[in-house]
Amino acid sequence: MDTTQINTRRGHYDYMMIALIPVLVCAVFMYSTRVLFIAAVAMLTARISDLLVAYLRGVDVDLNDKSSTVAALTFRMMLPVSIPMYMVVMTVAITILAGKHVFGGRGVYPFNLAALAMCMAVVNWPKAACRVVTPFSQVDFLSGAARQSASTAATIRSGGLPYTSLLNLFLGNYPGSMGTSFIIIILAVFIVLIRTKKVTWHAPVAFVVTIILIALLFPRISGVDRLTSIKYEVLSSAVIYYRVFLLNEPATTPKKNLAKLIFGVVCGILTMIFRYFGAYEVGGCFAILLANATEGMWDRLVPRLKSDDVITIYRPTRTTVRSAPKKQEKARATAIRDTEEVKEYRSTATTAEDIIKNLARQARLDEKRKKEEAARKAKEEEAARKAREDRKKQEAIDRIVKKLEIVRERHAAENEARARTREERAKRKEGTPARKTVNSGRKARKTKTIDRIFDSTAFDIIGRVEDQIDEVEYSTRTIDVAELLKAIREQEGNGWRN
Amino acid sequence: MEKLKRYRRELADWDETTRRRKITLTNPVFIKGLALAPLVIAGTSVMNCMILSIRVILLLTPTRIVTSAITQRMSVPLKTFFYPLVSALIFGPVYYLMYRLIGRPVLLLGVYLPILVVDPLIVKNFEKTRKEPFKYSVINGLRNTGGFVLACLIFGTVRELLARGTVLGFKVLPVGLLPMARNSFGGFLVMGVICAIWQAAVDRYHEKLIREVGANE
Repeated sequence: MDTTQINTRRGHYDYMMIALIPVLVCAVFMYSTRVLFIAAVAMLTARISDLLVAYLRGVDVDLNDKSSTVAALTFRMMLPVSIPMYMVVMTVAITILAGKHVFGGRGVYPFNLAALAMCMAVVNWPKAACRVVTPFSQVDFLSGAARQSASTAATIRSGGLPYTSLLNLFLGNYPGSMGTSFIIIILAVFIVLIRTKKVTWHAPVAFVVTIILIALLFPRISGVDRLTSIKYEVLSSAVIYYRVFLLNEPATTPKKNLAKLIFGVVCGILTMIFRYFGAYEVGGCFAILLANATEGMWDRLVPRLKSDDVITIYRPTRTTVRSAPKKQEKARATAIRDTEEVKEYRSTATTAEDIIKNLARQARLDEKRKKEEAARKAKEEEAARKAREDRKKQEAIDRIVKKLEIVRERHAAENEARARTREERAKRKEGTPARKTVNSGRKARKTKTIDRIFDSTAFDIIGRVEDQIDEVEYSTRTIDVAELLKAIREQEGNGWRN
Repeated sequence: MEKLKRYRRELADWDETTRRRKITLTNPVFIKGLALAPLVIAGTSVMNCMILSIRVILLLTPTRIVTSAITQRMSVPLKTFFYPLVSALIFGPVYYLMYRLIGRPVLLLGVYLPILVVDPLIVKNFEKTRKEPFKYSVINGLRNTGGFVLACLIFGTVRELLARGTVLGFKVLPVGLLPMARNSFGGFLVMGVICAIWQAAVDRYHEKLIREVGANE
């Protein structure tokens, strides 16, 4: 089985929704039942937005599309419990409309919907979205009025130290958002998702490791040791939540494992940059949005290596040798896959014989490609030669037609003259029959004149024949140019040249 | 019957219909996408949009008329230089007049007021390869101005309502539903939504004409 295909969309959102339930239960326990109310409103808004778009676009409603609902749930858990309801409704609606359906809807939106919603909420209502509520405090069910305090991220950002024990950080027993602070629960959920192969470890682990390294090298919290700095950087700022629920969204994360690793590293670096220099506390969401823009690029840039490949030949000049893990013994049997269109294939080989076979196959493919190329060139040359010949023929025909037109005009003029002569003769005949011999002499002279006009071309022969007919019958019939042209072409086909 | 005749006439020459009805069917902002930058960046409230509208009223049609008159006896490529030149020359007196009439709010628009001088809304005609007759420069100038003013007022009203919950400073909603609308990002979002709705309305109108005419023939 290809490990790069684990992060499939099939069933992913169902599992993510189930994975959010423990977090939701903890949030209800720590804060109030208002969490459920907000969750219901967010999910309902997401669903209504989907239905609205389907109605406006005149398409069927996609009942299997749960990405909006999961995004709404994920986003809602990043907010404080005191958030006013209209903010949730507006943010979710705009995110689904402008962040998902504008880009094409299910599975093709480029930006993580939950991160986008959080960024929009923070930009719109920075105080309401970032001021958090102390656990177990009174919260008004409808208005959300509660005693608020600054979050740990805000404390660190302003240069202070939160002073929260490691146990409380793991349990989420400190002022925070509804669902991002329950580290131990989120980690348990992550392990379950890994075991069920609904998420992969690559991006999340790379993300956290990068943040740890940067926090270690460039500590943001002054006056404490570096380990304490790492503790607060990782555990108190929703980093663990991001890595489980945001960095495994199938539509917005790379598909290849190596690309995922790079994506996680990029997210980690950007997150720390936003934390150091950004204007808002939720730097992670902005970082993920920015990294989402590069998601497709990593998939294309990273060589298409599978973990089970021993030899991968992409081009005849490029060969990469790797060691195969034991788990992928079955995958080796799939051997060579080649695609005729792109003329490349991947292969799995363990022995020297297999390597030689693969190289021979590659050589055969190259030879075939060369033959095809040569045949194509020959075909093109033949077509060009034929076009040249056709052009020459057409030019010859044009010349003939031009000459024919000239001859025809002259012939018409002669016919007119002859007709006039006939009329005059007829008139004179009535009066003076003695001039008959004179007219006969003129006729003979005119015939000679016509003969001189026609030169010796093949087409003038036709004109001459016509003239002879006129001479005998004194006919006024004219030459049909189209018919003549047809006859000329037929004759030319038989080798009759000008 | 009169209505049906009108529908049939409009449908028969749909291109001409859209060309003439620049205020609605080919709105310069919502359909053609002209003058988006000053509108999205500077048009954050109804007041700002009104200032932009007055500016365009005083600038657009006069620029087209003057340039059309000047370039009648010139070669077509020279129009390229005359449109921005005339627009810039008219801008000076217009700006002074507006400052005298409106006062300091004019300054709030910053660079986005003078930048209209080279906006395609004003100078896009220089791209055309034919000369614009004087009569059409007046008619088209007025139509485009009307379209821009309508779009400007709609956009300013919606944006102020969403961002602050007010219209011309009067409270309409208890809270601003989308405070982000006052930013450029939010402005683009609002503009996109309005453009989509406008385009859909134009399409519906076209479909309606086809349906009505088709049903009666």
